[in-house]
Amino acid sequence: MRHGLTRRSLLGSGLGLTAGLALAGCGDGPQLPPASLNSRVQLPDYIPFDGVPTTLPGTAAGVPSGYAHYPAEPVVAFPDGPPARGDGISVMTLIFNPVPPPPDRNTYWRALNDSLGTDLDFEIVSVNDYANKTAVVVAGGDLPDAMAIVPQTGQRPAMFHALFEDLTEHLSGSAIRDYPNLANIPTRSWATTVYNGGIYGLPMPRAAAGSVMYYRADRVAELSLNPQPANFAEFEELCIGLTDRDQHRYAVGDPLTTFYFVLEMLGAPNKWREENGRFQWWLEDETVGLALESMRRLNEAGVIHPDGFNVIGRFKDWFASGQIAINYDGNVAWNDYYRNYAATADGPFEVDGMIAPGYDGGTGTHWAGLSSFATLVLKKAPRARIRQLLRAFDALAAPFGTDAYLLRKYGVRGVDHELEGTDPILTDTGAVETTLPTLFVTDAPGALYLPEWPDVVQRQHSFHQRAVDVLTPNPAEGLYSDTAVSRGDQLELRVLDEVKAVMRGRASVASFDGVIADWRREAGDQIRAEFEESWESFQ
Amino acid sequence: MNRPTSAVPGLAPAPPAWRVLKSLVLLACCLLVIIPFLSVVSTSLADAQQVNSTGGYVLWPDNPSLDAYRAILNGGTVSRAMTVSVGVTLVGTLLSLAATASLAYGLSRPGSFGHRPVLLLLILSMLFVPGVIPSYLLVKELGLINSYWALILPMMINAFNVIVLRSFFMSVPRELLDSARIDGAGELQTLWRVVIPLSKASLAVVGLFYAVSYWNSFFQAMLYMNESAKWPMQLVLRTYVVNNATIGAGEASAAGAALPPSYALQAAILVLSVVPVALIFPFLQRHMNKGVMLGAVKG
Repeated sequence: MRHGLTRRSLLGSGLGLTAGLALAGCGDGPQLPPASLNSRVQLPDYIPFDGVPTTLPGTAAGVPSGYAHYPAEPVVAFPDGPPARGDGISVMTLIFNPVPPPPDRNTYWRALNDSLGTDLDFEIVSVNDYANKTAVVVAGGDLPDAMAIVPQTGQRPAMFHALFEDLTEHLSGSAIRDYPNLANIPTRSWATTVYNGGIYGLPMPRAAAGSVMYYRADRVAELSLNPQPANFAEFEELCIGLTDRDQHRYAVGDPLTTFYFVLEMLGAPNKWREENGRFQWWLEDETVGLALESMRRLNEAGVIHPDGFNVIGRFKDWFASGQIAINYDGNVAWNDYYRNYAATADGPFEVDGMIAPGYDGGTGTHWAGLSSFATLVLKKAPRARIRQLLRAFDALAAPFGTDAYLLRKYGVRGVDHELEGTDPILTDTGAVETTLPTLFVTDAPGALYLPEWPDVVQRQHSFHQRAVDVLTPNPAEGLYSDTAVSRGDQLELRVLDEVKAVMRGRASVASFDGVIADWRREAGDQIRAEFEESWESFQ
Repeated sequence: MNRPTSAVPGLAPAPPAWRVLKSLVLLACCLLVIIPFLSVVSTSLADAQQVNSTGGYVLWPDNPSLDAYRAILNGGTVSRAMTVSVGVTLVGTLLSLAATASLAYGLSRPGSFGHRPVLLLLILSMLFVPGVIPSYLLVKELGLINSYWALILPMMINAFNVIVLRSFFMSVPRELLDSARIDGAGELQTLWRVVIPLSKASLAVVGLFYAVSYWNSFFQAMLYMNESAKWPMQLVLRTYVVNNATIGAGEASAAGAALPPSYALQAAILVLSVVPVALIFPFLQRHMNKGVMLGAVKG
């Protein structure tokens, strides 16, 4: 598959971004290197940071390290002073939360700049608008020094080749040693940055376990239920035990993520399954029929919140208020549940996570999360400038236990946080100022740390250990398919609507075969073929 | 015995049961409108415990507090955004009214220079809207990226509003304009001293249209304002409210983002963003029907 950056290919994709590129005058751009060069890319060496001892160590397989307290004397990340002295650096990235105050009214931001030796000029874009903004920025040709490219961005190989720096010589193999914090990022995250036979950016690493099936441990204990079901029947029993319709209490809120959990019990693929280079989509798997039947049983048993089929974005609130007792959510939500809800809960509030058991008993699976949320690409620039940028971003990847991490996550002592013992606790000002989205630039591998509730860290660590033991990765992560970008999400949403209809009993399980046949015909087979071709380029 | 009489001569008065039923229906309609507003205001004033225990919908705060307002005003992002929105709305509306009235007046005078081609161009601009990227490129070439003018100039003239005003201006009696000329008034003086005073209702309506569109605009700011310190209220509001509503909090957690702002904060910023428009609207509302109808049916 060759992706030359031509007006025809760009306009053909029908995406705003590609139209933007065309209008930007990229024209008949340089021919891309053959994708087969991807197989020759030597990923950066993995040199884990082990400067902070802990009784809950991480593993190379993806279990994060856990810490009860922050070191009393943090490791000095940059003993030689600010690592990125020089001109200011503009970074465009996204944010899920309200924007922080600008530097002139943000002590944290200024301190971060001082620590780097340069001014970080963030161009922050709300996550919902990021695709539009990316399109116009690329079209306008006035690229920032670095920008986050999310996996839903079209024409990535061509765009990277035409506009952004190939970082292979700076990062590949042992070259990464010049950037020790970036070297601490696991190899699986770097694998998502390879295009056109080169390393085209920095990853934003995320924990291997991805999501967690949370449950309200306080309610489960109160009702003397079994929080670790050994099979689907016991899970159903747990759900029924947690449901009290008279009190408007239900076991689960989101039927779709509960469906995912049942699929994990059945060992279904995590988005895609790869066997000898052949790809199978997750909803094509033979286990889907049984998963749908099982969900119909749960629905008929009345354990799903009655509004669960119709709303999004409310499940956390239901979980916090006790309307539901089980909620599938990202692993970072664990700390937020305690900080935002436990402190104000009207009664006990304890959270734990369960791993999907085998459907009929035995071992289940756990779907891996994103190895990297997005890729930070660097605008083409002279070598010295690229090295300055990499030093700055290396500093933004300083790991837990360093003074740089303490500053990046908790701001300035006395303003953004106060110390309780050796642990930083954010102040109200800190909660506002530290929302600067550095974690959507690059980041250190996650650390389990909740100083207000140190016991919770042990539970988290135990969960991650159990999850990583049965982890099912997504083999398509890091591969590129034009059709998946342009049509994949839209088609999947349509199929998931049918999944909901089957779960509610509005369509038969048998009818789902027709839905999948439509998906294959419309674009599914094309997406599959493109992923297989992309996969081949890495072999 | 005095019997109730109908307000309309010749019609029998409605039976009491019917009047009660009508009152109940109207009351229900009022509640449908009032309860969401009340819920938003109450949620903004409720404490975290009540917000969490109710799942986000509070009808009446048990322990009213202004904590949510203090929190969103902490750091100055929201207050600055409010200032930007007010400034852009005021300046933009004044400029828009001036430009729209001038253009509409010119187009309302038969025989004015370039009258028909300009009118055609105006109508074409309603049919063929420039895309996002061409607009961005134009603004960029004009050097307006990160400038507040980028929030005003692209929206300054709305073809629909020009046509509404033109229709009204065409209804101004020709004799009035002729007498002004006889008195020695030029075109600008005629517009300012004769036409504008006669068009207050229409101008108020068009001004309201412009003001509301400037106030509600976030997309231009998203495109053209790289510095978040220059964002208007609606774009800041979007980061509080819309992110949470459209993507689902689970996806944000999967991305590594923190929890979205509490419902109290979301409600508080909604209240702040609605208050200015809610305060202004009653003063202009009485012009609304009159102005639109005048512009729509005459000419």
